[in-house]
Amino acid sequence: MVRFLFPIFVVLVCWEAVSRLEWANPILLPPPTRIAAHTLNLLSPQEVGGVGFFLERHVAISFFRIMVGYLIAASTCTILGLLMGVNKRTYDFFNPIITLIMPIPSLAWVPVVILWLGLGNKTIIFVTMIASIFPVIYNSAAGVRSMTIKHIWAAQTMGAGRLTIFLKVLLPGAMPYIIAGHKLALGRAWRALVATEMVVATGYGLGYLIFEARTFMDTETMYGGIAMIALLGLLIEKVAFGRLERLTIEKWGMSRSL
Amino acid sequence: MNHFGPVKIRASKVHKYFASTPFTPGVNALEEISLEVHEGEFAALIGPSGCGKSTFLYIVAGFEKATGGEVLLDGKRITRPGPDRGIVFQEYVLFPWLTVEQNITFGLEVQKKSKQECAGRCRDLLEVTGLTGFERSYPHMLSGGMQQRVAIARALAYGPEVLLMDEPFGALDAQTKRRMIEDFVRLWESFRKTVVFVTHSVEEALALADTIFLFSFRPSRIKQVFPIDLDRPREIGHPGFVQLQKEILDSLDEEVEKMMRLEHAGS
Repeated sequence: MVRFLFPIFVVLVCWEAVSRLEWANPILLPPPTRIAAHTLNLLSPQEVGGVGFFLERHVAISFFRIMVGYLIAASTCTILGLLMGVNKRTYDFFNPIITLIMPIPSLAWVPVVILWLGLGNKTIIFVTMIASIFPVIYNSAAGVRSMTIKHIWAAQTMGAGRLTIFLKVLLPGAMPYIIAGHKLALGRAWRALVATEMVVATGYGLGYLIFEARTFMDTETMYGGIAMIALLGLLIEKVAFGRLERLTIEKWGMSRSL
Repeated sequence: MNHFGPVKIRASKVHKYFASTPFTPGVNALEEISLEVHEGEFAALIGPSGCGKSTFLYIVAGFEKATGGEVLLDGKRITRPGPDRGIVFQEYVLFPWLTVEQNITFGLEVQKKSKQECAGRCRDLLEVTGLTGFERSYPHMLSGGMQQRVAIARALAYGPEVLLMDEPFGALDAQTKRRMIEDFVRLWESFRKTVVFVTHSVEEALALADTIFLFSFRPSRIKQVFPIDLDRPREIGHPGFVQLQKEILDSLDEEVEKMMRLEHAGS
């Protein structure tokens, strides 16, 4: 914990000094302590320039959008990826399509998706879903291919059918790769989410908050919004994935804990 | 000659050709393998490395398909893996995400056996393989020898007709290996299942087998068959043992020589 926090603390202290000593314009780069105080203030309802900045609600809505988009992608694409890893025909069919679509930035879809789904939650969720898809598929497939075929042979010899092998051998066997893929997917989903929220101004969401605050030159809110994204990402990484890793791949000796 | 049951495994003219890939040229692994293993017989397949003895075992297991000939198990042609056989690999290939107990009962659970039967069978196997007390451990916590004991218990748990073993003690250090062989002889004598055992160690084959099939270098055939009529447990220094060992080693050395020459010419 200390090992993790120390470098961050050093950066924050330097930042504070640079801003307080006015080596940088404190409006463009406010000191972290002031950003923190301001962000805490945002947690209670208030009016700034006619726009209601209720941080909790922005956070909650962003969180809802990313979770729906990510979970839809995660559940379906893990299965697809595992199938691609084990079945040549599935791989041969989906691989060209995915290879072609993957380099397209998720944001390039936004204008089209707006036309399909309108300016609202559906569009934002759809774009976070697109962003999540590729790392999940590729990692799940790679996870299966990293396993020795002998695991599957052993299961077949014991009389396991396709479904049993899929659920009881491929899924846990590919787990180190699957977890890594889901982490990458959530990282990409966050980026797509915030950017899409800036474009699809629905009135809520962290992306919207940051973008709107710019109109009022409210840099403290902007930095506060950015910090919230970092904190939420960290929370998911450390709490959700950290726990999942300890309960699975670390316990099974398939991954070293650092 | 021996006191075995009827023919359990009959291989006739098994041929295996591995087609060339971008990385490897095509290889004629097995030229023509014909052999019979009887019920209750412990058969060892021995030969120089790369002679295709593991390939042959994988054909018996149903993992690989022969490009010619056939293998019959109880008169039925082998086309795929199935629970009438049990497999033990050199690298153990346990499921790291399952505990020792769950690994052992995997086959029983897949075959929808009752909880009680699984637990009872597991307890017996833990006992005879010396694993009692480790049922809740995960494989990565165990030494290589212990992991291989789990793999053997897992292969026996669901009661296969035949046990197939691919250099099962090949990855173990010398002391562990000797101990494993002793224990395995004792275990095998208690159930006397048909075993097909691949090894490159003459000593190992002599310590265990009723019959040793010597594979020639590839494209391989059965070069010689050695019936081993020594009482178990066998002593390594026993005159009969030493004499057979020399005989088999001489024959094996000719094949190793061929392999070396070919590899030399290749490089």
